[in-house]
Amino acid sequence: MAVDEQALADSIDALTGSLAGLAGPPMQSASAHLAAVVAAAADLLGVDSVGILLLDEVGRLRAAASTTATADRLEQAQQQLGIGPGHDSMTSRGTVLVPDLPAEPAYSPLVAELAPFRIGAVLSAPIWVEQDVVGNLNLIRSDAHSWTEQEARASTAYAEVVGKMLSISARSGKYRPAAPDGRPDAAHRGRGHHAR
Amino acid sequence: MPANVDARALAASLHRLQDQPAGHTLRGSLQQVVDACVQLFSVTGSGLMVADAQSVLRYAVATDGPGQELEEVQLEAGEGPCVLAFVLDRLVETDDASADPRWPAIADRIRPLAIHGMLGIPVHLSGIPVGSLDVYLDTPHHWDDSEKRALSRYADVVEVMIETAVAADRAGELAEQLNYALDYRVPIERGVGYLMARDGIEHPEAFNRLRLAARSSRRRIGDVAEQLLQTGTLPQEAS
Repeated sequence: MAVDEQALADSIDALTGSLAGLAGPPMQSASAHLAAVVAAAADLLGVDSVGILLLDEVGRLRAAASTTATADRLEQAQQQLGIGPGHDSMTSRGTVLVPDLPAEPAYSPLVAELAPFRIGAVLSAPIWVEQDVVGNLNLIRSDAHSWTEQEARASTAYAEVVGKMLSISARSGKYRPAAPDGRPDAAHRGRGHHAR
Repeated sequence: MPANVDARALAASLHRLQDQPAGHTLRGSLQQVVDACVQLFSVTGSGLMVADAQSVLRYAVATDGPGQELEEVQLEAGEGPCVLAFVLDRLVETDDASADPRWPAIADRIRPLAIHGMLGIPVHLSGIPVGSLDVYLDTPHHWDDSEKRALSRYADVVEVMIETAVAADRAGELAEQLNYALDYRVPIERGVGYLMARDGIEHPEAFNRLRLAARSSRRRIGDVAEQLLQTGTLPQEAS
């Protein structure tokens, strides 16, 4: 199917503009803040990629942020399939350590969706807001890796900072809900805020 | 490494979270970042000091008793790694704060607290230095470049958290301190720029002159900056 790139770009710009107008400065600020904190996570926690899944209004996990295409693919695949370390982190309400994702039989459908991206070790830490787990922080290494206790503690603590930031962001502005079908806005993806 | 955010997914999550009980405060948010700092850097303790309207540092949060006392000792003595980091607007390190000849007034008091290796780094709000973050170890330690880079990176996270928290919570003494920097950042930055041009000095030195002028005249730094811009002189220069 032929795609008119210019028309597509114009359409995306129009959609992005209308979304920004509806969302307003608090939303832009919240996006920029989340982008900065997620980008810093990769540097501070010494991993190759970082992604975040967050619950929406109907309790479904949605890919919310990522530092690389690899992380984006992992989060999208977890969102679509309903399986993965992020989901297990939600269920267990704890940090899930996966030394080698392709070697885990339980995740084989997920791994099949990830090709050709290279993902070895994954760590999923729950994001808490008060008494609720509202999402998870996913750390990705290209190669297999045995996560240490110190890495797990640091990642869990960092996820708590993300949760606190989300919690106070939610208080600082009014955010409109997602579309009724709950699907992510494909046109808006890839046009988010970039941290330093 | 930049991060890409799906604004709609984030909005959906934040919309959901608006129903959460308001059990979070600015101080609580800052406490969370210093608590996480200890886990991230495997240090003994961490703390944060925030400047008031006269640009005088005050204790904000710390992870433990010695950390709080460390901050209070520095504030009373007017010296130490955290004070210097704020004044110079750059990272300050010491292998052993209890034996560092730069800060004799704090050495005797922090030795019993088992505080030795220390890093202090300034934190900013809208580009204005508003305080300093510190980490410390209970043993002497030589900080390598990767540790210093990492703490600098974490200061970025602290700044994001402060900015977010101040927008959400404008009540309380700590919020007033931080909001002051936001409200007066334009005259402060213009005053700093004026001093840089007038005296041929760098930004940290110019900010420090403004800060000291406010402190010695017991006036708010924003007022001093506005006077500087109107008269071309600092308070002590005019007398």
